[in-house]
Amino acid sequence: MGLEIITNNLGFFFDGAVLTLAISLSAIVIGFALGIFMGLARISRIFPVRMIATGYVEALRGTPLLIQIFIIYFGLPSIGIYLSPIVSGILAVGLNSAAYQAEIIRGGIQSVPKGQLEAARSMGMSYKQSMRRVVLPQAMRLIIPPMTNEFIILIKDSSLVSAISVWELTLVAKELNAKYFDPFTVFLFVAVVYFVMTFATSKILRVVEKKTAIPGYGAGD
Amino acid sequence: MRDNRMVWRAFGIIVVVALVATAFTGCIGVRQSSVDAIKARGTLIVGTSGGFPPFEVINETTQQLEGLDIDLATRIAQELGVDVEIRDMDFTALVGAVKTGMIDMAIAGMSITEDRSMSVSFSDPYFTADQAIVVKESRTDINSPDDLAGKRISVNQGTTGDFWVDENLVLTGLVAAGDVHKFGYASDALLDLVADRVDALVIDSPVAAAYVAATTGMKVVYTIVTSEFYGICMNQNSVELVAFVNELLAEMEDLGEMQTLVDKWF
Repeated sequence: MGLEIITNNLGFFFDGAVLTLAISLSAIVIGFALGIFMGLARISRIFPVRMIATGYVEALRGTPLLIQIFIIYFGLPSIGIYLSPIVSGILAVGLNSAAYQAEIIRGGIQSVPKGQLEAARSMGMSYKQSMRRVVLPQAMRLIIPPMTNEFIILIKDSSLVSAISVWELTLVAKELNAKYFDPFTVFLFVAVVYFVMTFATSKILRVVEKKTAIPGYGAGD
Repeated sequence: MRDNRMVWRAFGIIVVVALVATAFTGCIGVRQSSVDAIKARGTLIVGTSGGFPPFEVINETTQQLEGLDIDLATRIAQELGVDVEIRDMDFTALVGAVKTGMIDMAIAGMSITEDRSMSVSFSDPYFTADQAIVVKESRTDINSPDDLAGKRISVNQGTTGDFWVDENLVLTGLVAAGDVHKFGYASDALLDLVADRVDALVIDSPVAAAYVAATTGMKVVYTIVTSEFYGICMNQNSVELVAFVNELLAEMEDLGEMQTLVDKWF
């Protein structure tokens, strides 16, 4: 036993890891698309827009992800919406991440010194123009480190969708544990696989951070 | 240079993780589940997996697990002269937890199987069960195992019902692996059927009967005769404890105590 459990089931683990990555990537995309929208809405000058975005962030950030997964998977059918386990999982993780990403994006925008916006405005740019050409490009660079954090957390949190029978890495591990009863080997190996994924994510984004760094301004060694 | 540093850093992290892991295994060691150790500790630690009526299910008033298995656990603890501590977990985690000594025994409507017996010891049987197919009352197209071909099925992961579905429907190609929804708790597998996410649920017959009685709009359409025996699962090193439990079970059987227990819950 021991290592054989792993070598005999590499294909099974691989499929699980691929699904974990696929779920995480899809959720990151959903989270970013919605997050940027919500993040901007959070600092909107229009009160109802700001209120809706704040409500979204507080609600999604203030309730457990596992409960959100259960609401989408087990709850929505009672109002006639049937999403497959995988889609439910991606949606739940993505919507949850959007709340955190919205806050990261808002923080990024607000970290750009006010003088930048004022300078852009005084050069004759409209609010929209100065946002798009001056503030956002800087904010996008500033959010890379906290986004790295968020993506890593998201990859790990994706393990929660095993609770709705999605065959990602964690459910594969549970299945093999139910078969071989060797939790130490199985879960330690899965931990290593998760670590490889999160470590790679961290390294890739560090490269992006350095490549996009403005010389003499902020990040990058 | 920089790449080199990265490799060293990764290496360092792995070394630290490995050291921590070995340190923990080294200093804690395997917990003994011997009769003496349990008595010295004063607590019998019993693992189970809730949502499995009438063996282990949450009582809504007391918010504690109750059922035949819980009564059995209490009875064993009483005989040992110790308190009982019930730990509720994923069904898949139970055998591993017994094997690693995290719990003294698992009483969880667990069938004695050859595979499990390679890793743990079982007491003498205390209950017999089969597998049952549960569907919504409105369904008329599923009446036998053959009708499950091409359908979606929910199961409690790691149970004999799960294994039956894998062996007879998935490995034979009758049902796609992705159409079998597996859940760590039996009650979530039932929830999957209630939410119309699957066409049928395959689960131990006594539990199926309890679900049908408690949930409206469900019916058992077929009983797959598997003739399984529930046993109390203990560590292979706990020879004395197994003997102790077997003796108690025999005594309960002789005194009609077991029958009283069954009558209480069925």
